Amino acid sequence: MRITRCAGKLCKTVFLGLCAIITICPLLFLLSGSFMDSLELSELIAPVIQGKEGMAGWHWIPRYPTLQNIIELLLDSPEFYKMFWNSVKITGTILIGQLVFAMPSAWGLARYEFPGKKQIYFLYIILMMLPFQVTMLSEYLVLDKIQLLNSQWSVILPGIFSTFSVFLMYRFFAGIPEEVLEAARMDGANEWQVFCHIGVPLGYAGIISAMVLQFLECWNQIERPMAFLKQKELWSLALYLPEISTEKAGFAMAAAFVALLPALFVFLYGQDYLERGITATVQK
Amino acid sequence: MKKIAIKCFTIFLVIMFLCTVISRVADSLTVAKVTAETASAKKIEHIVEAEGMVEKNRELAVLTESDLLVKTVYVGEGEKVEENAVLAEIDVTQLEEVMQGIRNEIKVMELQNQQAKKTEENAQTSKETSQNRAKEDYNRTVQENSAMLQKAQKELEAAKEALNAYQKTTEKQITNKNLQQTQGEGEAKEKSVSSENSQATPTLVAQSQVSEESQLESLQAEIKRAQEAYDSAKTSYEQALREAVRQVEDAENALVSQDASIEVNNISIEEKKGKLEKLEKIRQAEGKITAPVSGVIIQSFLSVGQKTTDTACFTMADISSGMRFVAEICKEDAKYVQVGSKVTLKTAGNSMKDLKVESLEKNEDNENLKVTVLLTSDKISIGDSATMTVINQSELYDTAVPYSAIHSEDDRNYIYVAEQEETILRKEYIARAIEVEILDKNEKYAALSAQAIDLETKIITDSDRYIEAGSRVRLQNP
Repeated sequence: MRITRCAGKLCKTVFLGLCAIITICPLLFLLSGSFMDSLELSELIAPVIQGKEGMAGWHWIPRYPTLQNIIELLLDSPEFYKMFWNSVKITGTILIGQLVFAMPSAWGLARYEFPGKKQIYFLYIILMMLPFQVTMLSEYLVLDKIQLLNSQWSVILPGIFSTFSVFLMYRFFAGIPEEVLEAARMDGANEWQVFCHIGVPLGYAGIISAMVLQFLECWNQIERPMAFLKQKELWSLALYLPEISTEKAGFAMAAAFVALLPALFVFLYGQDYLERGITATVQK
Repeated sequence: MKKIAIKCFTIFLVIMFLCTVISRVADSLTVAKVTAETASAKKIEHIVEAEGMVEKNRELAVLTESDLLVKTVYVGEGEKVEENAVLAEIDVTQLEEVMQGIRNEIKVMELQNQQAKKTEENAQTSKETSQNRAKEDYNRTVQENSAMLQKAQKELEAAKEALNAYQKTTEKQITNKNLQQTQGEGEAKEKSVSSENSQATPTLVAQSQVSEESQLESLQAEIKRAQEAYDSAKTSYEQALREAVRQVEDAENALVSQDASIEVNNISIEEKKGKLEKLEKIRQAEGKITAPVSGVIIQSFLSVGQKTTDTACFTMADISSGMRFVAEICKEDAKYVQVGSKVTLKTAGNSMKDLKVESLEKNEDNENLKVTVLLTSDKISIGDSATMTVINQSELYDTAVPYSAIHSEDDRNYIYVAEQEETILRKEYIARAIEVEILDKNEKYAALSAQAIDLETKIITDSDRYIEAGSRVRLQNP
């Protein structure tokens, strides 16, 4: 029995380990490719990138490692940084906006009763489920009307008023026991204080998970910037990476790896909350 | 874990910020700073400069009579002299001796002429006498020989007549004989009896035949002899006549030929008189050789103590006819210089404008062209060096750019233009290469074909570093 249990555990571990390795392979691919020069890369992946005959290959440890791509990326590519800070600006503004608008919205939907609440909530869910391609044209027309096209606000404003954060936070705010809030009211706290001192701390997990998920979404979003931003200097990092030519595959890999790092750090920070957030998403 | 993540994220952001700054700095270092200009309408000026020398325009020789002793030479080569300046002096004493010698020669020739005339007259007289005599001999010869010939002819005719008469006589006799013979046959039988008679008759006949033959022969011989005599007389006549005619002709020819030494002497006398006149002029000038015009002595052929020759004493450049400046230009510059082109000459401290190219000649040693400019100014002297400048302006070209904007590669010319492009960082200028066709150029400007660019295009004329197509540039004068 014990052996069976150990064997089972071992198999599970091996299997999951393999899955984890497979999952992490793209990351390792990027990392090792960042330290390869263009000659080695063209030997390995030319059939894929340049359409040459033969099969593509790979070796995880570079045979002729070089720091050229990293140095070029870090010290000689101001365009990358321009777009990096664009992404930081867009994502940061969206997150701050969502904290300002989505949090109170979720709190209101979760804790208060008012006419049309269910309809509004239903509307939120429908809007959350609609893909960007469906709403793109109407958004474009509205933004054009209010002359926000070709400015970063055309990406930021729709992100701030994203319904997914509201939904996620709603679930967490809805999970706070009413008695706690009642107790606070009885202690003389007004609604704002209840929200700030009770609701936000107790719903912190949901808030963070919403922020993490929104960060990941905003950091990697392509459609809105591509549709609404004409000038290249307004583009985000997600649009820069495809601009890199195939001759600079090593540089592109290094850039992709560096672009990945903020999302990694945010994920590491909000890992726990994210689990809870994913759980809440599943329950959706 | 969360704290580590936040820390790492913060450090990451700080690193990104620092790298942003560094990369921006590095990027600005790689951007070339360029100077750009727009094309404009211009005429392309071609300045042809060449160094050369001032030479004489006209050279002339100073001559004097030969075989005169040079006493003094006053000038040297390269010396400037005025008109009528004394160049050299001849020894007058020796000059007079020479003149006297010429006079004596003239006298001698005159006497020779007189002698020759007398001799000619005597010869004329004797020759006339010879001619008369020859004529007389001729007439006599003709007379005498004619008579002899006539005589021989008569004798021949007489001999022929004798033969004719004899032949007539003989024919009659033959006719009579035939008649007699016919009668004789009838009587032949009668005669046959007498064989003596028949033997005697052939003897008589033979004897008569022999005498007839000998007579005929003698007549024929006579004719032959007369004929020979006639022929001989005729031959003698002709020969004598021929000789007489020749003698007459000889006498006449002797009369035609004359002595030419008088004419020769006359000619020599005239020459010597002419030379004497020239020497007289020199003597009157006290032996001084002067310059005919103002100029510069180029060469001196006289030496003190030596005699003059029949070539020039001095050669000098005639300043009054002006000077000329000669320079060489290369084949590439030749297309900008034509006859009549305006020229400016500069020497040390002097400048002459509004001169014109007089002629262009090809130098056979190389492919350069020799340019000649006539000068009349007194600011410059023969032998001075000067610099010639010819400015040739082309037609007006619509599109002219500074020549520093032109780049060449593999026989193709191109320019870089700065085009504004929107990049990730900002609106930047990118250098683009445009192939152009150069219509004309000098060191400063080049005229391009009109289709190449418009007048608003920013053309990169200068850069602080190497640029190529696609390089990002910053305009120093936006």
